[in-house]
Amino acid sequence: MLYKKMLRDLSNYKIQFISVFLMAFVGVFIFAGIGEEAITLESNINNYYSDTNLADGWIFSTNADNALVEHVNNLKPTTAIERQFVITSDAKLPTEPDIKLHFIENNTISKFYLIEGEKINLDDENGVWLDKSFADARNLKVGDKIGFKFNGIEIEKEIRGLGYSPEYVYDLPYYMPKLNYSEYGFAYMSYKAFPDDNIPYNVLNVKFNGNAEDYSNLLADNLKDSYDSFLPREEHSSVSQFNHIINLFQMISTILPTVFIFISLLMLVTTMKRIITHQRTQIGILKANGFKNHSIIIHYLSHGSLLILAGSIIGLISGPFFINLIAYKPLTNIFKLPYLMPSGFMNFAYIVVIMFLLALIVSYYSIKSIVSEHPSTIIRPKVPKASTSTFIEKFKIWEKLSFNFRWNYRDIKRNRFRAITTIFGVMCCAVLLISAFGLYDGLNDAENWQFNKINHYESKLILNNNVSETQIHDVSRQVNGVEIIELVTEMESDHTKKYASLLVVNDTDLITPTDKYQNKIEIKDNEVSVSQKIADLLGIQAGETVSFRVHNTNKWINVKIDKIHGNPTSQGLIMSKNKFNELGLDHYITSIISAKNVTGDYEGVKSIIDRQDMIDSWRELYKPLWMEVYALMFFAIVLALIVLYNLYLLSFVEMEQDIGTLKVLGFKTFALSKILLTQSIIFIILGSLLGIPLGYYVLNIIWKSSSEKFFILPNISIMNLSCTFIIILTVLFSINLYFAYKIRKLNMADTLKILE
Amino acid sequence: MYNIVEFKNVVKEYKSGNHVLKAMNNVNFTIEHGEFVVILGPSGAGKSTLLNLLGGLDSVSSGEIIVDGNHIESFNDNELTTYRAKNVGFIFQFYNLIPNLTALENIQLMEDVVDFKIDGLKILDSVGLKDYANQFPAQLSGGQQQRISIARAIAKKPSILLCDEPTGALDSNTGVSILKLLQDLSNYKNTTVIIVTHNELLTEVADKVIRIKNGQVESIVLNETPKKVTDLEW
Repeated sequence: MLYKKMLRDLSNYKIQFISVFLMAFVGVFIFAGIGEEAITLESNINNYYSDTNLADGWIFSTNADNALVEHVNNLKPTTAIERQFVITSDAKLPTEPDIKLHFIENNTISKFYLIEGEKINLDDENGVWLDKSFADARNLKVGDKIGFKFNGIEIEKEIRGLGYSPEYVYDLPYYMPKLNYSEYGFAYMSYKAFPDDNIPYNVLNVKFNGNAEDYSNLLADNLKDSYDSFLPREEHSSVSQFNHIINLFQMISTILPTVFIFISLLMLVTTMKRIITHQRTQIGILKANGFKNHSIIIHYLSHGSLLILAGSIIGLISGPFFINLIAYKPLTNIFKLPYLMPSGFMNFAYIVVIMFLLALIVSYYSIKSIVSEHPSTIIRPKVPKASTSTFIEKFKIWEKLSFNFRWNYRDIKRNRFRAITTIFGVMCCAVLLISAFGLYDGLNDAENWQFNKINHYESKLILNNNVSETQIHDVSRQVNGVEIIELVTEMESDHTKKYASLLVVNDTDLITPTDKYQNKIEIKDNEVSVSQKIADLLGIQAGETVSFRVHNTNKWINVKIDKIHGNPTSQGLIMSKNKFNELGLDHYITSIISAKNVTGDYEGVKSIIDRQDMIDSWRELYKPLWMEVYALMFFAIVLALIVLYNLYLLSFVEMEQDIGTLKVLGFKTFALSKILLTQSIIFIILGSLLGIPLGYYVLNIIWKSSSEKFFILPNISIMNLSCTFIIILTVLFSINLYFAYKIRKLNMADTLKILE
Repeated sequence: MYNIVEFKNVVKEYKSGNHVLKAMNNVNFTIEHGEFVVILGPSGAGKSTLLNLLGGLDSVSSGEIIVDGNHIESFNDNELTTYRAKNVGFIFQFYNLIPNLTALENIQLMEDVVDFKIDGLKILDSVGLKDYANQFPAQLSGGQQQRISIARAIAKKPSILLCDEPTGALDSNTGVSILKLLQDLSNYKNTTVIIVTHNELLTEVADKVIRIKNGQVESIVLNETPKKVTDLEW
């Protein structure tokens, strides 16, 4: 029979219970959905790296002879080594796409992941194993012939297999404008497929024990000049770009979903407490009729807890499914992965258990105090709390204040728990909205910073390595361009090493560095500037000295940092060509930038990337993240709606009898709904005042915990801040209109009978 | 004297599915200005329905209700609200004071629905509770709360005082003092007091007794010599 009573209770309090159900659902949906996406990415990539035994590092040398191999192999931490000759070729296909060829001696490290065709055969002189993404884009099949040109050599091979490589998960060569798998790719061949017996091996794939930094130091100490550079796994462009995206996913998958869960539980506490308090006399009647305490407790525990359980389970199953649905395609578009298996919602089953247990604890806490009372006490309505006048109420001015104000002041004073909960609820909604809109603004801001405030060129001409100075100057003159050098460096300070970029550029309007607040700064001819993110990571400030070396060189240089600049995605050093040379460095020009929209062929120019291509590429990379930010914004609004409605309902139900009395006494609906509205506005103002700075704080943590390559200050535009307020106020006024309708329809006779 | 309340062929029906319940069936009566009237009947007789209709809390299915010359059966929601604000003073069995407001504030509260200034302290004094002006309802006894409730009702200077079992929740001594207060309002202030009750004893103090049964007026009796409340034997 109690089961029947429970069903009737659920029906009678359906709005509150639906709110509890929805909040549990939304909380777990977001928590499990976004969390699962981060885990999916991480677990899949880890499995893939493990399945293919991705190298721990790569040693580059123009002469990777047997002696070097033996030397490296003899280093104690080295556990495995494989030698390759890697070179970029032009495929003999229309538009001559770039294919990076790997002539391999073995394939146990960074293994080719076969999808179609036969396994790699190291004795096969005529076969090639091709990048599946490229093959699909070019409609190439196993058994087709394909030719390659490199260093004046032409070869033709038969495609034996199609597949992927762990070294090309994110595959966008620096000279390519955007992801376009029909224009570049990779291929593996046996060393026997090389047309000459003397293969100029240039890469050693290594596996080693210990950390990369120690291994790098060991190589530097032992190999001296017999190698050019060492690239640890974490700095490999494919690995680091993937990690960058995982980091961004992780950054939004931890803090905000936790706020969602927290706010759901907060609402559960208030709802359960109110329902149980409301049913006080019923509990008394049950006790008076001989029901045992444990029967009553179990009865009330089952009310909200079962709904929380149901909402959580549905959220747990549908969240990962839905988020996967919106993020899967953008992810598989930008990453070359043989599989992207959802990690499954069971990773987050613990949150359902936590929600259920907390629901039980909250319900038990609410029922326990009533059940422990004597039936003769609980069978009667609870005696109202006696109020006392506070300091402010003793002043004459108190009497001059409007009834509306006095009512609300007293109501808040008498119902402190409800008031604090409501303010807290609004605060959490504000944090969610500020954070969600802040992420939206941050991603937009980063793009605007990058493409409108720092980089103003329309075209970037990527130069070949072997172009003469005359040719470079000639091209520069033709396109009215500015010559720049972009390199990878290693920076070190206080034994902390970081890979960083180096931009060598003279004063120009085409690249205008800014500080971290995006204000233009001038880096003088003799000055060196470091980006804020690297400065933070290395713990350095302007005026201090840092050492760096250009990647692939052994020369460490100490340099004084004069300025700190800000950049959303490029972290490292900026200096002029004169300063670069003054530090004893020399390097060929890597690119020419121009304000013109340059098209056509120029001698020595490898490719031309235009501004729109760069923006498109940027957007493509961040597309999966955008999807999640949109989802987060949508659910933050949904949650704000549920929370505000529920809190409004709680206020209304608690005041219903007083409202009924006032209505009987002749108060108009407008005056009564104004009381509720005033109270809500007070709560919203207080909640927002707390929530906005806290939202900024949370946003700051989120951005700070993002990848080492990404830098943005927490910011929310006036537009979006206004949007947040408009959303809250629209929700509030809509709810107020609904409750004004409820007040108008309030059955006064029934309301007055409640107490009877 | 004139008729301040007139019920003419009043019918009130409640529909529940196909079933129609007549809670008030062709009810007719009049109440004169300044009369002390007791409307009596057992549970389910239609007393509350009558009170709701007269108080403007509900509307008739047919018939006419004329209060102080106004046909309230034709009033819309807004007009009924104004009617309740200006013409009716309510006194409830469980007082229905606003717990957030002090005794004085519960009375001053009525300034928000009437057009004149209310001297709350003076009215409190008239019900003998001037010293309790700054107490909150929860700090007062039942009898004191009912006095505040009466003070709140008369503060509006209403045409009629509608009392729903005003002594129902009180002990006999307190009940007597509340009834005396109401009788005095009728006798000395010429206020029309209408008490809805099932307590037969109150018939002895009323100027007029209207008995209701099964949604109809069973009898209307004029009491030529009503007893003083203090002479009642509880």
